Amino acid sequence: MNHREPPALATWMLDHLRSRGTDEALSGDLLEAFRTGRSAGWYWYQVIVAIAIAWGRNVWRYRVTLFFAAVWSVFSPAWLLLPVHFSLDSLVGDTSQIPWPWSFICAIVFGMVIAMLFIWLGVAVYSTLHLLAFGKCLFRSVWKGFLWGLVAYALAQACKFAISIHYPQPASNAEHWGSLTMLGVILRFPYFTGTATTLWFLASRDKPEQVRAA
Amino acid sequence: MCYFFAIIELMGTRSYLGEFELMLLLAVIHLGEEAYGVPVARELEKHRGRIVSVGSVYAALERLEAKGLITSSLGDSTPERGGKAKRYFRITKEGLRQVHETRRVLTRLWRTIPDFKLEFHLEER
Repeated sequence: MNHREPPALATWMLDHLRSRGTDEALSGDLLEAFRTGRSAGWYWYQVIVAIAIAWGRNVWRYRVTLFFAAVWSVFSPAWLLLPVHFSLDSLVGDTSQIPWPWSFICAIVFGMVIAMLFIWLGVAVYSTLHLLAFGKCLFRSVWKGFLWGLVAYALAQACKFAISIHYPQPASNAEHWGSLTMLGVILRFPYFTGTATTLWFLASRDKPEQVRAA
Repeated sequence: MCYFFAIIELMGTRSYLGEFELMLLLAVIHLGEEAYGVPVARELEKHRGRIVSVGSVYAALERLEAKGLITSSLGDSTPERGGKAKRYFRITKEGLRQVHETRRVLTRLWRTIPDFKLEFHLEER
């Protein structure tokens, strides 16, 4: 038996980029085939296809969740009107009196709270519909869902911020409408990401199904 | 709204065997006790004449397992495989029944096509 090693990066990707990483049989099979004469190119091909299939299956498994997140995020601009009526000033008093960086931190925390309320209102609506349709409760790992939803929302919001800085100003009317549509999509993107990630973790199993040993 | 939810959830669950699934079941039957990822993929490559992705083999086998057509069990881990266990697949009674049923239907359909029609289409290509 040849004990040459397959590309280390490919093996790392296979072990870490598949969400169902506990199933080691596939990794073992690829290693065995590589050591019996398959090329590094063949190994890379197998790894990339395996990762693509694993993610494709996950997306398909959570299709209802993703569909709901997309629909729910459409309503986010209406929710954003809420802070206009229910502002930070009305909560903590005159924010101009708060020194920097606390004023900045307060504004960020307020924004996050408003966003999380929207996302968790969506989670409540989804869970109710899920319960009515299938008679099963959705909540499995609430803290995981909350934390990853928060992280995903913050990252998407940071991306949105970076895009909005570099986004060129519209020159004509047509471009203005085009950019408005684009901005609409960007505006909803963090809400979609946050809602989808939260629901994904809430709906996912803590431990994948184990195959019994012979 | 709830019905809509359930419809999306149930979308894509089909009961009949696909072409790739049928090939996999035949390979599993042929390999018997030695039916795990590498030999199954190799068997398919030998007969199809092109590279088969082991990932797609596993995806299809897991689908077949969910349908109750095959079962799987883990073997011992070996150093040649980096200490990772083999996952052996076995066909179930229901799997065998479905293979026979598919064969019966396909044979019947083939019989309804006269030879001259097949030759005509081949010449056209």
